[in-house]
Amino acid sequence: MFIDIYKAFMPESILLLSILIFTSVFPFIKGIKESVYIKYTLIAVVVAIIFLLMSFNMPDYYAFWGSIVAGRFSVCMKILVLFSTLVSLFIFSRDKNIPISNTGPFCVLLLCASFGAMLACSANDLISVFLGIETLSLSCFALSGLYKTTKSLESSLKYLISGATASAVMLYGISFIYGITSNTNFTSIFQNLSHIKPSLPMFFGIVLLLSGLCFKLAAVPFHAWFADVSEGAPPSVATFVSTAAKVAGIAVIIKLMYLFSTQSGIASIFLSFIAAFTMSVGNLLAIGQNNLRRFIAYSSVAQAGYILAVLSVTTFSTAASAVFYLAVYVLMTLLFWFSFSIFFENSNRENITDLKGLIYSQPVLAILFVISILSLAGFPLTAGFIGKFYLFKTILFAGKGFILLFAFALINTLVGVYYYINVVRNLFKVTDYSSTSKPLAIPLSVYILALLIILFGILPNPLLYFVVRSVQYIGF
Amino acid sequence: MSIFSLYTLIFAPIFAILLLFSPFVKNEETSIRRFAIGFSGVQFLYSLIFLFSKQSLFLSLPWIPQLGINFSFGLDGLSLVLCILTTFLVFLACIASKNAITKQYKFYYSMIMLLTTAILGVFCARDLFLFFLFWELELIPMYFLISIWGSGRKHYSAMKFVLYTFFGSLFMLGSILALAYFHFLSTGVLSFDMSALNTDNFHNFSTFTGMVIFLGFFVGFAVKLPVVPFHTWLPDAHVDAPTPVSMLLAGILLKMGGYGLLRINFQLMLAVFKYFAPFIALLAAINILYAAFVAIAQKDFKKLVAYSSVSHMGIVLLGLAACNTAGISGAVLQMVAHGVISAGLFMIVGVIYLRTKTRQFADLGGLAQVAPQLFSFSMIIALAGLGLPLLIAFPAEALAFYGAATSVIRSANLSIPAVAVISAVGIIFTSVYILLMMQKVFFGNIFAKWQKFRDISMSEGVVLGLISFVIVVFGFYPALVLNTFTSVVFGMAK
Repeated sequence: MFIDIYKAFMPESILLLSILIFTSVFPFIKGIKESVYIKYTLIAVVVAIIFLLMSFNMPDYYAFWGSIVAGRFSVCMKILVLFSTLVSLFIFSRDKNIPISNTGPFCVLLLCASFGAMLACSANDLISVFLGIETLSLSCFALSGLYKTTKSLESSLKYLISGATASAVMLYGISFIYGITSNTNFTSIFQNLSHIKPSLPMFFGIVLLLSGLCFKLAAVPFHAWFADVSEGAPPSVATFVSTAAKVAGIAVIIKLMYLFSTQSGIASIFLSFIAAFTMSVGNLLAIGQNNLRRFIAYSSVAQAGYILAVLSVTTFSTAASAVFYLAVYVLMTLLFWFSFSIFFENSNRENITDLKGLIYSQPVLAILFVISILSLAGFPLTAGFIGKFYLFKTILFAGKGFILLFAFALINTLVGVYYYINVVRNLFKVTDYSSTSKPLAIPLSVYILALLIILFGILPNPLLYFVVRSVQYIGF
Repeated sequence: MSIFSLYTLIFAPIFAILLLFSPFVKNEETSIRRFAIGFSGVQFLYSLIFLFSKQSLFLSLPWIPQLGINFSFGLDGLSLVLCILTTFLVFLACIASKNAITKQYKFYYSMIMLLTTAILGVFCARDLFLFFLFWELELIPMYFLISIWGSGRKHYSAMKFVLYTFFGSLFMLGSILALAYFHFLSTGVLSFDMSALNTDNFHNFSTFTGMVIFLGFFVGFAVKLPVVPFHTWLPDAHVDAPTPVSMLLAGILLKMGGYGLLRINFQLMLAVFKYFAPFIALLAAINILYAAFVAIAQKDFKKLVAYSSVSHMGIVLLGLAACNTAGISGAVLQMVAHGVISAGLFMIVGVIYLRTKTRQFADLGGLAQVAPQLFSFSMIIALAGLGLPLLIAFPAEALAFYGAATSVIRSANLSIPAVAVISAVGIIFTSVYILLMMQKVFFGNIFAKWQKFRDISMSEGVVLGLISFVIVVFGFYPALVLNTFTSVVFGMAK
């Protein structure tokens, strides 16, 4: 049994151990520098990623009486989580607005949050789903308040209150499902559900559980907190919330869609409605934004809508295209937030109109912005294009029932193009030529992100291979 | 000719971009422009070599096997004609950029090169995914070309152009996926290959579904062509783009729509095409007549030329609707003819605008007195535009109208010959606006302020001269063009 725990739980254990060392040892060392915290966290995350990569090819291992499963799928999602954690850490390390005394809390909370997200990714039990999501959320609530400005604290409080409500809703849904199937373990629930007919309580259970998860994804109508958090929280935290937290939520939803596939499409219908709303409302709200953070927040809402749309169609290739787009989404969002944080710390401005003429004053930074935005909009030669194509293909191939959802997704892409191009337009607007300032130092990791986006836009095979293999064995 | 020569043709401009940003090219206007002209000239000559290869080229390499997507390109007579037109016009556009472009040279020429790759890719792609990729790729350089180097409401026009095309291409995407879906249902193989997706081989395909898929493609291409209800992006984009970009826009980009209609709507869905042919002919008649009327009323030189494009592309649509060899040959020849003529007309507008800073007819007049060379080139190009015999547009229009008039296809009480007769009236209005344009710009009294109007410079002379040369040579002997693609057209329309 310990061997199983070791194999299934190793990456999480590394994070857990590092959190324990952090909280129990570091406070007692005198004169320790803040930069050590960051390096320490960095090493912990990188070691965990290495362990994950090494364990990609192993079969499913169950641990803790079947409540945790580590297989290719969860490994893939956990790599995405840790990757976003890593980039959030990079963004944090450059952030001069956060008081230096907050470095320690940030690092611990970030580790806790990624631990929670990883737990949710490998959950095989409703309770471990709840545990993971809560660990993630609680850490994120605290993280959003790190700035100590009114906006930051406000966002933190909003996030806390609405997040706590969502957790209660989710737990209520779990209790329904437990009541019907008398189990919380996915494997047992799946076996029980095969001879349980869909009923009203089941409907409530599924809808409430999915609503709670949709809150974490900031899907409409549970999206109100997301823009505030993106605007108020430090960029590093906003990055984490819009990538790692969504990865965890989507990982759980993918598993739940398989779990409830016998329940005559309750989950599927509910999710397709949510998806249609999420895409449309997210896009419509993004059009009017002038604040870059709120803009990217609403565009993230819309992007999550595309993923939800494809998730509402449950087949094998569905999960593959969803995970593929999720990976691409993570790359694009990380690149956007990273470029934004560089821009923000240099100019202390955060409006779209402030980007005016950036191509002339900071050409490299502007091109990074352009890459991320063209990818988000789905233009060719970026990973976003392949991702969207794969996504649309999957929705259309699902058959007649989803043709309306397909149309929704198409129309929304057009709306998306409008507001994304609007940002590009600002970047290329002519201001005064003379103001060519010194080029900003741009860390290597940003270039890597941009290169990955273009590489996967031209040669998506490695990522596709990885993704298709990772979803091959989801099941119970 | 090996297939790699084709890859070289399509992707050489990408390497040109890399070279452009390497230290080999000095960062000053002349050397950048010379490099671009030299490169596009070599590219043009290189594309001519393909004329001598006897069989059509085709090769496909697996690209994204998980999605059944192949990296497949092919070059038959039809693609070749349009490819040569592309490289020719890009070469001219690079020469014409001399005074029209005044900033950001490296970025400008790299965008032109990217555009070249995208357009050549569209014309040569034999996989629908690849086709769609290049179709969308073309938007990025075009957006920048209009919105950075344009004039007037350039951002608005660029945005409008992108949104319209994107709107159309979403329909196209839906249809591509639907075709692949039905192919997948019947064979169990996921493929986007054009030869595999021929709907004549499909049996699980209701007529209604076929029509919906057809219309999806049609909307995508109709926006580009443009067909009248979708044409409103064109005057804006053409007017606000800089001269060389207008030349490319009218000369090649519109042809992508005609090519798509022929390659996909006609070739892959012939049965549905024949059903819709009379309606398409009707749209073509509206295009020809409506755009000609609008052109007559224009007060802006460039807008008139833009609307003349819409009108001329209607003839392409009419020829396609005929569904017979003559009609399609006429349509393809008209694409070539219009490509050259409209590029020439936009060049003339650009030459005049550069010197006078106005495009309003009210401010122009009598320029023939001060600029005889410009006038003589303009006369050749304008007369070609109205379809004078022995100039390139005449055989094209004659074939297209002949094809339509002899077409046997009819449905819903609409017969194509009747429509062809109505739209032939458009030729009269074409001569009206072309002659009006010549009269307002070149004849009559000259304003005192234009007495010092410089005649065309060396580089402008080269551009206009080459265009006039092509117009006259192929006007005398259109078989030179026709021979390259007739075998393809015979194969399609049998």
